[in-house]
Amino acid sequence: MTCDEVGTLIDAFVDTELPSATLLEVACHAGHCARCERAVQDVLAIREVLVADVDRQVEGLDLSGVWSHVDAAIARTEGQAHWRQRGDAKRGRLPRSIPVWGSIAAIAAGAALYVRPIGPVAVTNPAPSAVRVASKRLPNHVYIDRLAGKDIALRREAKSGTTIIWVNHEVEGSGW
Amino acid sequence: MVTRALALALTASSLCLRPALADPLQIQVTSVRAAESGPSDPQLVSLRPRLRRLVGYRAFQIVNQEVRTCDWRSEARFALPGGRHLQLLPKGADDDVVNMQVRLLEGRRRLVDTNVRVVSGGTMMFGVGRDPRIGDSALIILLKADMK
Repeated sequence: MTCDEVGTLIDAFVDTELPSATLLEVACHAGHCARCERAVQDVLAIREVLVADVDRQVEGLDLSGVWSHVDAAIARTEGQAHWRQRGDAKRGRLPRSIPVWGSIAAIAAGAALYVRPIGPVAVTNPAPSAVRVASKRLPNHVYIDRLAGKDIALRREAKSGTTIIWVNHEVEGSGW
Repeated sequence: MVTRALALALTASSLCLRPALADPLQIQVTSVRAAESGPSDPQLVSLRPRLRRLVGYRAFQIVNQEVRTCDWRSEARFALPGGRHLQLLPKGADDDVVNMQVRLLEGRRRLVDTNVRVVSGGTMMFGVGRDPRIGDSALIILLKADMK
């Protein structure tokens, strides 16, 4: 190993970040080369000065009031979260911690929309409109383009997509 | 060259979009009596939980069932209990989705008049009756359209 090669490795040598074989080579070279030995000593001296200076500065810091402030901030945040949850519970809302999951779900939905081609939406209201085919259809899914009648209701089962048009009408005299 | 490509594309798209009217359409109409209590028809065992969720009643008995091959763009009329009828007009098909007009009639009175698109082989329902909390029974009509 040459002096130039050792020169490029001195910092890593001092930090013992070199592989053991390389570390040994640098150490052997510096043991026989006064110039490289001096360079290593210089780097060590600079490190010591820097460490001592930082230690001095840290010792001069007054941290006595830090933890009391941290405790006060934690207590304030927890108190706010508690009252927020109580308020949400009273209003029948979900706790504020949910938006994290909501955000994740929204991001996932956005990514899915971005990745998948945007398919037409199935018609769920009785208003007339053009036929639309959803990308993933349920076996009993029905597209209702137009719906007329008196006292009728539309019910749909989410699992199979089964749809029933219900007429609220007396079944009397039906001749069962 | 461009004209030929356009003509080819138009022909291909018209072939793709053409309704599959050559396929026969089989319509099955099943009339079911829904009641608050009592035994259920063995044929409806698999459908019973779904019916319960949708209509609220607990017991289901098949009253009448009719399967018929219907012509496209031709009106078909299925008799239902209580002097009612289900009048169908299959208008066309897009891939495996059947487009039809459906009218539920009581005498000459239209209880429901709708245009629906049903996935081939899928079932849609009509219900006539009061809410199970105030009614004793209801009529459920299962409509299945199948392109063979």
